[in-house]
Amino acid sequence: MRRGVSMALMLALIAAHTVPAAAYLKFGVRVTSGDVTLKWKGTVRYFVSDTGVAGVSPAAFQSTAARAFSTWEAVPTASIAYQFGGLTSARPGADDGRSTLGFLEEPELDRVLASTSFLIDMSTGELLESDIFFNSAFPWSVAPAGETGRFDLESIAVHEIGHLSGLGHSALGESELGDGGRRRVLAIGAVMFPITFGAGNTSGRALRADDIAGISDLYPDGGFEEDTGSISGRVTKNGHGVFGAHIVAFNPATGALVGNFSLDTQGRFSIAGLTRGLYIVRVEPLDDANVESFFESEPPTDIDLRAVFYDRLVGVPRGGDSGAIEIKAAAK
Amino acid sequence: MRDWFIGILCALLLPVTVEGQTVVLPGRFEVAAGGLWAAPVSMGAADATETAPNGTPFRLFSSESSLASAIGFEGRVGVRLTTMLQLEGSASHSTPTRRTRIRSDAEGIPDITLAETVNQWTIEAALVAHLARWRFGTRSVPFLSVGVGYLRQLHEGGTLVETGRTYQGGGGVSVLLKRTGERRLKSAGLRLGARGAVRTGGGRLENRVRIAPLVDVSLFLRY
Repeated sequence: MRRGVSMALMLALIAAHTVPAAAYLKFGVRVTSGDVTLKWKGTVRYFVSDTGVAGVSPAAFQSTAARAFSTWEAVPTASIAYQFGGLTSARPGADDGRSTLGFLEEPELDRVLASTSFLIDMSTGELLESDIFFNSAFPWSVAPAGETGRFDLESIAVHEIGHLSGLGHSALGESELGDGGRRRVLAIGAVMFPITFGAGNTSGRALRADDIAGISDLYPDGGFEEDTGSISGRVTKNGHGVFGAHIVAFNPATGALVGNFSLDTQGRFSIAGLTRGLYIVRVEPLDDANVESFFESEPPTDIDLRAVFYDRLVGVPRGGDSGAIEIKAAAK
Repeated sequence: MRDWFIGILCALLLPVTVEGQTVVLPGRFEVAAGGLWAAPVSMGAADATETAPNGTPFRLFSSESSLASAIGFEGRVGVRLTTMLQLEGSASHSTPTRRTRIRSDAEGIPDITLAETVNQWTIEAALVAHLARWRFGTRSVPFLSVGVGYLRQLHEGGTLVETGRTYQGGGGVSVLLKRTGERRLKSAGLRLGARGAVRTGGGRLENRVRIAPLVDVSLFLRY
């Protein structure tokens, strides 16, 4: 789900949770046999609703969606593929076995630009369908350079298609609280950051290193697993594991920033999809967006942390792991 | 640049024509071992950035990296090609400390310097010209050298190996300490050299060419 200029956060998924101790924040479901990562098997066939909105004709909607899908498909280290099934009179949200993108008028969701939902076979964890709705209560644009006062449909579609593909939110972004508890975005470091820039901004069309690592980790291809490595370890505070800390790995040689979270009560984390090299590792509390946008309420996310750098450089080999590190954080 | 090159070339060739038969350093083969000191060198700077609403970079923090000065050891073998030119192969090992300073964090994390020890190996080939024309006394011969090599760095923890190339040029003086007159060991001496090394790869963060000064002292035996 992606919200408007200063939206509070809300998880886009129904009956879904994050997969613990996995690389990158991926969606998963708990079925009888255990946790299953939510991902597609084979080409994802999608349909586009035949209803447009002011400024967006059905044909423009379809071509914009196609561009957004191709942005993810173009990642050379990921194998995911999408196929346009056709225009449809169906609306997103209908459990019809078809993944549909469309507009819905949802004025009561006054801070929600778009949302992604899933239909999952809860006995097997198989992903059956995923729909994306765009809230027509907001003004939309498909202009190549964006349009003042209108939200860029392609940017928002890229984010939602990330969800549709199985990615959760990234915390690579900075925000500050404004009037009425609304957040103002200062910067984003990933398309999958849960809060968008304001209307007229088109910077969400291009994937960042964090997004590429995420989709490649979920659908590895092109030598991704052999060519990249990972950093793993624990985040602790007073000797105890920290759940929900945001860990960011920065490669000074490439400029790439890739993040993940400590995903269990031991504070364990793993950041995958890192190119070989030396990394600076930084830990911060999950305080640039609402926690509910990332995790369920249990276990509680610890945001009483002071941001800190790990006190060593971390070497990441090709096709291997750094070896476990422990990052000691302190309370604020 | 071309004139400068021709000048160097003439300087190298002249001793052959003027003093073509002069052999200041007796012996065809050389074996040497010694120590080296490498000056500190910057590895470059890099900012961790996100994107601000207007599309400009938003700096999360800044980093600068450098290799501290280091002492190491070097082994060398050489073979005389002409009275003046010698082809050499060498290997060196040193353990410089790589320092990365992090500053200007957007959320106010205090500046910090991260340090790690790097196990650094080089294997180089060099062409050395002994400038007998400019020798001082009967024992000391200046030389010029140019070389290329392979750089291998093993980072702390042993999980990461980085490789690169080295290009170096410099000069120095070989001092003959003893002419043995023996059948096999012809002479022994001391060599002092100073070089400028340019490195590619090996964890550098920039494309800018930086010359790392390097000084070496070695004891040689010639056969």
